[in-house]
Amino acid sequence: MTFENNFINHSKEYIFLDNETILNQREKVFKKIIQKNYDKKNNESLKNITISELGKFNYFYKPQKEDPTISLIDNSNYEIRVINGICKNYEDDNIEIRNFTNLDFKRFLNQDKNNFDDIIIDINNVFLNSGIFFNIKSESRLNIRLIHDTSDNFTIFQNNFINFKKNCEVQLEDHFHLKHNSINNINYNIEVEEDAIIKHNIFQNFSNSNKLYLTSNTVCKKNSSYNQNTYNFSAGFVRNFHHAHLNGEFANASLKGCFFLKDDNACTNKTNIIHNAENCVSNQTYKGILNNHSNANYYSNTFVSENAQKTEGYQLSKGILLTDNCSFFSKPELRIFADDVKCSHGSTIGPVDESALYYLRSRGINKNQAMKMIISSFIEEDLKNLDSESAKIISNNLSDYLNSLVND
Amino acid sequence: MDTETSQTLDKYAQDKYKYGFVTEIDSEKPKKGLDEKIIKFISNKKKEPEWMLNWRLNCYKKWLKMNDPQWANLKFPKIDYQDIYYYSAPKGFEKKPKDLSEVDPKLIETYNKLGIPLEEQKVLAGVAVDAVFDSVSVATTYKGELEKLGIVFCSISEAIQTHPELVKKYLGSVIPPGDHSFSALNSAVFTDGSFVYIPENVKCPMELSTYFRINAEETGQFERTLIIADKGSYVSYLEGCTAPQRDTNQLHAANVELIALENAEIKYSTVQNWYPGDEDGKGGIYNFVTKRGLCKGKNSKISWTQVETGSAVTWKYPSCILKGDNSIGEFYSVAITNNFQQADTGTKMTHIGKNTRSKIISKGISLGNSQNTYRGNVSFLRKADKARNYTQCDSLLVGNKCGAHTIPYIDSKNNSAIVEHEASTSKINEDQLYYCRQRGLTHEEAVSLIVNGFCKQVLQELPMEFAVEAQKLVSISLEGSVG
Repeated sequence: MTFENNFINHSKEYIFLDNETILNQREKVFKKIIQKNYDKKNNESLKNITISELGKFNYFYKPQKEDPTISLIDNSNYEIRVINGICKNYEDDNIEIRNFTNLDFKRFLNQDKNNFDDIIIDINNVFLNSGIFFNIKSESRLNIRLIHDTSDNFTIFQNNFINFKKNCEVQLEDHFHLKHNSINNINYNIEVEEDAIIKHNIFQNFSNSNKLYLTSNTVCKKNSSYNQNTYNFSAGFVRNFHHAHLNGEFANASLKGCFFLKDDNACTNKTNIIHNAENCVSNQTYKGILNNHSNANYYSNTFVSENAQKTEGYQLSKGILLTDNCSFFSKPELRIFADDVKCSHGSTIGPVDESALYYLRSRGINKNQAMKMIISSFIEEDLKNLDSESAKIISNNLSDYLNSLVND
Repeated sequence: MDTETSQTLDKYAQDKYKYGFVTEIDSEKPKKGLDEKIIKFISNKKKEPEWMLNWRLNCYKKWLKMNDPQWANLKFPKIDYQDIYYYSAPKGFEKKPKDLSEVDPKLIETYNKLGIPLEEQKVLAGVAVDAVFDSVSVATTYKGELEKLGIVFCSISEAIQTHPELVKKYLGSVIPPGDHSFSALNSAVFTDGSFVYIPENVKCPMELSTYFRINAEETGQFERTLIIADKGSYVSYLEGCTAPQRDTNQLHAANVELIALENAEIKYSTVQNWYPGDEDGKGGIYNFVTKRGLCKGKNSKISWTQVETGSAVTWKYPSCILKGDNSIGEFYSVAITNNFQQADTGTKMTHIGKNTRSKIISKGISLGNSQNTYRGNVSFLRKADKARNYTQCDSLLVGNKCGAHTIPYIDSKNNSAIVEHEASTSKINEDQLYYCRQRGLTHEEAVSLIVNGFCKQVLQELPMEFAVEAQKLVSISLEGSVG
């Protein structure tokens, strides 16, 4: 279906359907997309895509039959199932969760539009059909597991707000259970208040008929800490665009990820950290293994504004190419306007280290086994901070991936 | 920033451009603006054959359809191409002087002010100078000596007359005129520049040098340089620039093409010190240069070294296309920006052949209100087996009004190729400063010493003749505002 048809038939469904301000805004954004009215200079959201292709999808969304659930494993462990973008409204001493209602349109309109002319976010705005508010109350110590269940053929356009109140300590996990042919365009707005410590792990593993566009925009206040790790084992297309704003002193943010690609798979990653306050530390690390005909892009950007003195910002990207037919593009960018800073970036792309392979082979380990050892050691350091359950998920995924490597 | 620093900053911010003066020579120039007529006029003035004129007109037609590239991190007003003179030659040079004594004494004086007395250089330094004053080559020295070896070193206009087969074959072969609008513009209106041909198995015994000079107000300089190193040859080429102080922006869009055949090596060094504009950002030269080298044969090597201290706006990416197997590309750069200067400079290494290697060392120093960007592209194509790249780009910031940007593009399509990229940005290390101050150096001397150390890796790549001048330039540029 063309983009125009999708717009005419589906832009007035489910959320905010009788709100004129929103409908006008959608009309405006729609025109912008149709007229391709984008600043193409340094706009990574437009790289390697054609706008008309992006608009061609079969919009499909229906209220679900299955009920979303929230299960409390114990006082501090929550498992939340989001079914086709809808969750169960719930509140207790630690947490408040509810779906978007028509009354929330102001919040939606006023959200931080710092996503730099991103076409995926624009499409998300036009077709928005679900959204969830998460409120994590102050002083809570929680583990939250968020499971995104999407049924066959569904197109989910979701806008979520997560507010971590002062001094909370939370480990948030995102799992994507996508069935077939689904499109998930999910935009997170995350606010981390003073002294909050957040660990956010994102596990992406689904079949190749699905597409996931995951965008997050995090604002960190004074003394807060936000650590994000994405693990992409998907056979389907994934776009991970993550932005973090360090707006309070002594805040730190780290955006890390690894991806494991094979066959004709592709993935696009971007991390962007904006330092607006003094004494903040940031870290961006992406690692990838590419096999067969896969290709990956990684854009990273560290921006240090002129009043963000005493900043430390680090970037690193590493790619291993296993065959001659895969390709990796990396663009680690630094934009610095303050003088008292320590910023660095590094980027390497290459094959598996021959001498390491030789060392292992000479000790009687066969080539396959040796390759597996080297590749697992490549991401070893990223697994250290995981709890045992997550580590188990990752190591299962990793061994599946390794077993699929061509045996030669 | 401590008070001493800001005092020194103020003191040196007053420093005027040392090479700012205007030589009063009547310039012979046609009307402003660009159309087919002016191209025919230039071509006629140069007594060019018809194929050359047609080539120019063809490029002009291409240019008409193109827009200026917009992706650079630069801000400047739109260039009015109809407000520029495209040809200007000092009067009385219709017939070229045979030797220095025939040259207008005023010109010689200008060079003396710049510290490059032709006669002295001829004797002392052993450098052959193809000096370009505005658009006509004034004097070419040491030509005879070079001719004995079969080396051709002359202006491009002369080469079109004397070596049309080489020009025809290679002109536009590395930088196609349709590449981008500046290359098309240059191809249409280029007035002068150097041509070098080194025959097979000849090592050029001296460093070839050209001194560019922009003089007449509002005259764009469109230099075209073509260097061809035949099999097994070697040449080192120096280019230095300095221009008088002017209030209106001057446009400069040069094209430099290098071609290295089997086992040949070309070393191209630049010191650029054009008028950067005054302390309020008024005036200064717009420098849009396209430099590209093609390592065509096996085992060939092209090395770019540049020291960029001048120009209000610099847009320059000396690149290497590593086509021959085992070929090597190198890029060493120091870029210093001060006041309201903007520089977007870097390199592009395209690995096509097997076992190709490239190395990029870039040092950026930003002072005052300037913006300094490194933009580099390293790409490995499918067949570039075992290719290798190492990139290091470091930036130094002095003061909190300037910006340093690093924008590398890394693209690998070959799994045996290895690319390594490192970059860092920092201010001058307090410990090093403290150490130097303790040993009795003034604040300014200490900074100068540290910055010189920072640039050393690049400066040492310059040939002897240039190293002194380059070091002088670095400290002059620093003096402008380092405290």
